[in-house]
Amino acid sequence: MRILQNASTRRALGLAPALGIIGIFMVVPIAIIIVFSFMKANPYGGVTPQFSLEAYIQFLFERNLMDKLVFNSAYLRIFGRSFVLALVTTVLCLLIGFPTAYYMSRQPPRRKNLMVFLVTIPFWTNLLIRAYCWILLLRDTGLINNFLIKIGLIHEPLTMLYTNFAIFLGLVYTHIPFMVLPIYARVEKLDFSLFEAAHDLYASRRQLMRHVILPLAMPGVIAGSLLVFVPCLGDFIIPNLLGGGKHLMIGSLIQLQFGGSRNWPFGSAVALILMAIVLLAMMVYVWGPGRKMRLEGES
Amino acid sequence: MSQPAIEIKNVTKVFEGHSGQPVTALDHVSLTIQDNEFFTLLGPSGCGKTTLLRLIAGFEYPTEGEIDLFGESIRGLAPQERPVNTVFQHYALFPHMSVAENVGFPLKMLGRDAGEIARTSARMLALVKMEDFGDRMPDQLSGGQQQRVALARALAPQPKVLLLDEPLSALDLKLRQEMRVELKNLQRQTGITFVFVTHDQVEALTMSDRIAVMSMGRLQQEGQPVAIYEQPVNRFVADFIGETNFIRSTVTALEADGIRCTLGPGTTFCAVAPDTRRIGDAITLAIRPEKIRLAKTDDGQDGLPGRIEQCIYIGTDTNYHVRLDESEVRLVARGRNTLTGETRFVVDEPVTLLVTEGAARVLAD
Repeated sequence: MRILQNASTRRALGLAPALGIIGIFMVVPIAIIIVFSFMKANPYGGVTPQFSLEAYIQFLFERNLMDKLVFNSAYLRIFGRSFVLALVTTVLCLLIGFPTAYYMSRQPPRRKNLMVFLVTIPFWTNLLIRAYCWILLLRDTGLINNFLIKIGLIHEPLTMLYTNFAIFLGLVYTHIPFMVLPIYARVEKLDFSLFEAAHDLYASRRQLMRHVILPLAMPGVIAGSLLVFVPCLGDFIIPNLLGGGKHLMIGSLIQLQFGGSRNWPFGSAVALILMAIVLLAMMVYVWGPGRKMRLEGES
Repeated sequence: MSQPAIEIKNVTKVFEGHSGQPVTALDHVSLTIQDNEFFTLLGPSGCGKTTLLRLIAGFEYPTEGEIDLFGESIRGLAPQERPVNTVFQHYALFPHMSVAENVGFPLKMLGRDAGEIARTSARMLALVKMEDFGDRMPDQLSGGQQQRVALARALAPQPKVLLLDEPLSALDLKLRQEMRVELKNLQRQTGITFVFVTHDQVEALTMSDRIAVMSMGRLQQEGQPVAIYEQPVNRFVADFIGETNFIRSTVTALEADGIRCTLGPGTTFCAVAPDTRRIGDAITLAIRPEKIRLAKTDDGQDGLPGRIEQCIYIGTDTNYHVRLDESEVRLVARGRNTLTGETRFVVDEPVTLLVTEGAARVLAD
């Protein structure tokens, strides 16, 4: 009994730094946000300490001139737009990332390490700087347009900046390493004799991919998809800089409430709604396909 | 005589080494494997036996030479186009599929219907005594059980040839001995040609119809287990298979069925020579320890006088290290530890060595 106590005490002590950091930098801010979301906005910023459900009501309704609540889908549409954006980005990242990761994993060891290193290079530079670089490349007088005009392929500059194309390009560009690396980590570990065995047992290349490689890579695919989808959902830098902020995204919406709009309770409420949806989606994964995958895949 | 299952014709395989140097894994190997035969490729690691197996399976292609399967060249065919299946050294079971799905995998790839897949899988699992394990996942099985599943999976599509790449090396001794018997039985039952790769001489001797001994990418000897053991053609084969005394000697006379040679002054005996020798030739003799009998000196038998230097008890037998009196030659002789009859010897005891007629073999160098 004493030993058990000692062991659990030691475990608690060992975990203390991690728990402390999570507590201070995650639990406390979320608690603050929760509290703020149930308060009234102070027009000069911050909140007035007075209980109110106004922030949540505002998400779905607006008050008309007679002060009656009318359904307002504007914010739901922002959510919908953001989800579609994140989903498309995730699919694009998967389509590009999977073959890349697979190719990398089949290289000789030294090439492999070099390629992993190359994939991580963008992390060395701040996202804002990289986004501004894309502006330099994409704008009407940018490098790409200048080059195409110079070689005579086009006469008028192509409008690329501040379009959906630019947003997807930016999002895929910034998030693809998060798709490639988990899939690579998974595929690289796979025993190559499994591939030989599949061929030996009459599987064609397509059958090998479908029945052996894809199922075994699935935990990596799911991890990568979550790592791309979730940050994409809240991203506001790329849609603002490369999309010109023409369409409001969730991330921009939240940022706006704490900035220009000075509606902290509403910003908090939107952030919490977003978090709740993401958590729900992850829980479905953990209890559903994810659990089955772990039982089968982790051997 | 029926058509051979596999004909390996003058096959050479050169790999690109790590430092860019070419490495010759197989050097002009020619072999014929008969249909319905348990054929073993035996040799130390790096001798090219696994490479040869992979060439037959189609995982590698020969640099030179040709491989025929039942009279037809399989040059350029991918593994999935060859009617041969492999049992891998570490089984290579698909971890995301149940045992039954693993066994059914080749049939599914061949597009057989679900009913046939289920029936064949069940039959194959029964064949390897794993019928109750169909729903398990591979990581819930022991090494021996995984081995059986791998066998069932490779046999399910009824290949013409089954290739086995050191399949027993990961099992413990008891299980390995059981599986030897079972593999042999399985081969008889199914009538499929087995090509078995191993570095374990006991495995090779106990299971095979014929053995090919390989070393340094070359075929050293090919033949039935008895021939490989009793009539090794060279020093490598004699040394690799079983224990052998190697003795330098000189030819003193030629006889009808061999030669007479000497082991120092006054001691001559007959040896079997595979090729012609002349008087005065220096030769290497190979004598198996169990072919040398020891007798007490006072028995007065005619043999080589020596003295026991060491006795090593190995259970069924005792190995006696003997030094010959008239030369510095040391030999190992083996005495059986039966309950009755066999004479025991002690260290420093003077003995007479009796080399049975035909026990000594002259090796080709």
